[in-house]
Amino acid sequence: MRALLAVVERELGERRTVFAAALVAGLAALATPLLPWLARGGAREQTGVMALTLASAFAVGLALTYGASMIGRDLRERRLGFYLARPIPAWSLWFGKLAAGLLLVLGGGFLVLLPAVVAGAIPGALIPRDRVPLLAALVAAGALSLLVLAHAATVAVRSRSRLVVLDVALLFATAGAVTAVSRRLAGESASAGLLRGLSAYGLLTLAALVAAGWAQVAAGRSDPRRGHGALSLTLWGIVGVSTALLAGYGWWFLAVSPRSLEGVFGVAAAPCGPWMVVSGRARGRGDYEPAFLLDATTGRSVRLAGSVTGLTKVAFSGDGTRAAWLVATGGRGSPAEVRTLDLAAPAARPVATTISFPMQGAFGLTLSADGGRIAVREGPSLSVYDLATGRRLVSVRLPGAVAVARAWFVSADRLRLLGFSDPRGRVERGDLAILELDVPEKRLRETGRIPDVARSALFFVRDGGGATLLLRDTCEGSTTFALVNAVTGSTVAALAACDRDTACQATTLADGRIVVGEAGATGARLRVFSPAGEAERVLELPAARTIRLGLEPVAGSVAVALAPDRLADWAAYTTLIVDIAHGSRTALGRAYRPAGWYWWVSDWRFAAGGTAARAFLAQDGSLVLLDPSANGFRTVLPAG
Amino acid sequence: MNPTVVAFDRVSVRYGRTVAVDGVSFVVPRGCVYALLGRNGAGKSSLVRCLLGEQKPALGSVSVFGRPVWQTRVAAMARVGVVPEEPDIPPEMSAAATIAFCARLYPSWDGAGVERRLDRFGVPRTVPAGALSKGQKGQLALALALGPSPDLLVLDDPTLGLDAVARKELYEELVEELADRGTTVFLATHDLAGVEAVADRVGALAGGRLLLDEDLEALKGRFRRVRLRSVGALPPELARFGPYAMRRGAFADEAVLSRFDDGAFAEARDALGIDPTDVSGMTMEEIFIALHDPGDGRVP
Amino acid sequence: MARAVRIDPTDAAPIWRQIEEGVRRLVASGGLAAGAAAPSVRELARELRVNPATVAKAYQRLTEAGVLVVQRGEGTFVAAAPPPITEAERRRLLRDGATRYAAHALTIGATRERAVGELDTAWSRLVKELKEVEP
Repeated sequence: MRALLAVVERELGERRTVFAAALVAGLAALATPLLPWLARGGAREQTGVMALTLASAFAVGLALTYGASMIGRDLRERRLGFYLARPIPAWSLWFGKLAAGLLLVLGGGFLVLLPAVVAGAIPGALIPRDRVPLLAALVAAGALSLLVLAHAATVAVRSRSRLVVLDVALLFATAGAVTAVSRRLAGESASAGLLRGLSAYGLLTLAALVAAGWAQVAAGRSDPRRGHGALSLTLWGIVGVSTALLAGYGWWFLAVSPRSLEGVFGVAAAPCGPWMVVSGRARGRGDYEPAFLLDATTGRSVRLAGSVTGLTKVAFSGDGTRAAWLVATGGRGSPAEVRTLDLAAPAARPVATTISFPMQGAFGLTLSADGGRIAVREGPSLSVYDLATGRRLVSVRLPGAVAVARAWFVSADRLRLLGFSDPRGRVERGDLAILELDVPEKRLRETGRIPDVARSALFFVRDGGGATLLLRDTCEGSTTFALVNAVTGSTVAALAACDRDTACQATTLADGRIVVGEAGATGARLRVFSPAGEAERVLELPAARTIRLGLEPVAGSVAVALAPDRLADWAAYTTLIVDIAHGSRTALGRAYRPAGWYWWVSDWRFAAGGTAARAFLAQDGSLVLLDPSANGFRTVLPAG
Repeated sequence: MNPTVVAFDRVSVRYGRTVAVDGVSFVVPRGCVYALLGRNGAGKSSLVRCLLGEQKPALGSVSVFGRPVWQTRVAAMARVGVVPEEPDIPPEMSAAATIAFCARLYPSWDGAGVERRLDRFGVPRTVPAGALSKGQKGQLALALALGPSPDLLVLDDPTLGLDAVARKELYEELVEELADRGTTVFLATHDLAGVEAVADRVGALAGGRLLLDEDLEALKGRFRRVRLRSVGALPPELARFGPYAMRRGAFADEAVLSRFDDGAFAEARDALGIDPTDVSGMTMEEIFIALHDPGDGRVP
Repeated sequence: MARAVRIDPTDAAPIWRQIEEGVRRLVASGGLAAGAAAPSVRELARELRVNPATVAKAYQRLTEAGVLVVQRGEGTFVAAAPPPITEAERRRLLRDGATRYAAHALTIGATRERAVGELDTAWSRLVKELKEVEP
């Protein structure tokens, strides 16, 4: 320790002028407002910026020059013997010089900033109190990195050994490996993994460089060649191990299964059949939210790779036999391709199709009823492809004045589109145009209009070929439900209306009937309508202020969740199954959220008693299936 | 206390394919002044670097104070004072700063002694070392080396480039140190004349190998130069005295004998009619040159 | 005294012997008076630039022979009655010196009378000088 302190003192004492120069530079920064070419006003900020710029340049320059010379110059000028012939341990020499370098760089930078801080040009409130240690640590780590990098580079070059070629080759190889792992993680939107992995890797690399410098002094002593050898061996040994660890970490991070989800966050389901999309936070992986296609009966799952966030990115066919989704093939800006899975085949794997387009513009995947065709909106165009062959059947440019809100297959050869005629969206309400695309004839024409609809209106497409649409419109807080002719847009029947104090939701039964639930000051009830829109009955429910409707877990009944307050937490909800015909209720318990729905994006009617209808999310985040015969739940995915 | 201060055990040093030192073994006992001689490039500097734990020999090992110095460099250097061949004091450091730095490194430091020496030589304290003259740098280096009252003093060609006055002062200083403390000294040098009176033992390195490793007195005792009347060839009576070289001089022939013995030679001398005045001793320099430069030919 | 005692590197005799003989000669010729202080081992070693151990060895032999005397705390002195040079020593020195002188003279081709004559002159002159130094 004595020797280390002596070395530090010696190094600093010899370079006293550096600190003086730093202070001078800092004072010079105060003269920034006097510079003629700077813009008027904001003199304080300009001084602050100038001080920061000078401090950074000073620190970086000093770190690089000191790092290169701290051992390198003594090696070159054969003056290392001065230290080695004295009882100074190698670690004292190395860490003493490093410590002196850090003090020089950090102290110098601080001195450059000091006058500006005192003059008030850099507000102290710029950095929140609790972040200061982290920021200080980052700055110190950065300075240390520059020091050891400059040192390593100097040693490698000055040794005049041919092994420098090996160093460079290993550098490229390592950079390549790290880039590959990072791209993979970034491609999966695994930002937590990326941040954690790269931070740890950075720290390990820094440690490797420090250790390598120590090895160079301890084993190489006054021989530059030997020193280079010791440095490279230590450096690449540690870096090699940490790169392997990083790759392993990256692999582990993405090796998730539905079982590793802490709690299912969101679920989307096929209209019929056991398949659903589940996503949630993966355990121990920060904010990473992987998504899986899950067979709720067998537990078989397929990971949806490539940053499929947002459950709307997966499309199901009407018969529940096919799913399609987008996968990013590379980084930002690279095209996305469509992958599909044959849900009916028990051992099928995802298949990449040849359909691809720029990821940015693609949205709104839609499959035909049998899954044979897929339609995609890409920017201003709509394209239809044959899913099996990937052949594009038609691509139409949408009318400039229309912003397409929905598109779906009426039949394999016809699609229906809904679009607002004012695409700029400046107005809250507008006319909704109904368009029809004829695939064989490659023709798009407008078939009707729904006038005066809110932009936030929602549509049930009750089945692909359905003749009517269920429209949920809001106007100044009040909500209306209406049946609308799917071709012309004319209103077929007005179903229900709720004022702003009443919560309102609607769902469709498998036989085509519509159920509207309302809860408010006047109590809670279900209004049942025929497929044509005629009111059939009203079922009263226990008093509640909020209502959520699920699907049809048992044929002829609806899942209903009620809460006493408008903004209730899910823990406060009571879930019931209401039999439409008899009005009887079966209580399911507290805080069960109907899952598997997102009905407003599904293009198909959900099967009664199907998996989608029976799926619920429990309060702890586990995914459960209602078993009506046993009147209980079967856990599909436990939480945590 | 170990009777052997330095031990070289089958030390070989290689630089790439070149062998600089080949299997050198010798020992420096306590209290001895050992002079290692050798021409430029003979391998002296490599051996000194190995001695100081700066370089690891390709084969063999060097022990200082009984322990291998490559592994125990720090412990060894606490008891060693080194005067390097080329001054390696950082040029920006003044004498005062260097003394302050070094004083902290050792368990004991003779500050008064250092100051006394520097005063005697007139070395300025606050001038950066780079601005000092060569002689002053050497004096500072010696003062620093003696500061920790070392058990071993290592001098690598300390008189290189010094003028006659500085050389004299250095040897006086060395002798005083020897008189005061009986320090063991390892001296690698070219300055044969100066070292002749001070060294106890002598080693000569040539082509990476040790030509001799011997008491100086014994060495000088067995070498003689004999002046012969011009006989052309070496008389056979002289063969048993290890004739080393024969030179044809302008007035007479000269032979160098390396296994001289007073008693035995007296007979041969009478037989050959050689006058006692024709037999003379040789200086270190003359012996060294004879070992390296056989003149008209090495006599078998 | 150092100038009077010289180390000749070409001399075959070891250095300690040269010092020893030099001191003896000095004492015998009166250059170093009986009872006078002799330089310490350290001082002489420094002046001659010779290993102090060598000087110490010479002094040891001189002390044993009774030429020098060490007085504790005060230093080294010439003995009050230093033993004279031994007869064998005297003979050797005279013979060596005479042989050298004769060889010189013969080399330059001087006659014996001439050589002896010069010897006489030198002897007289030196005795006169010594008498002037010492009363």
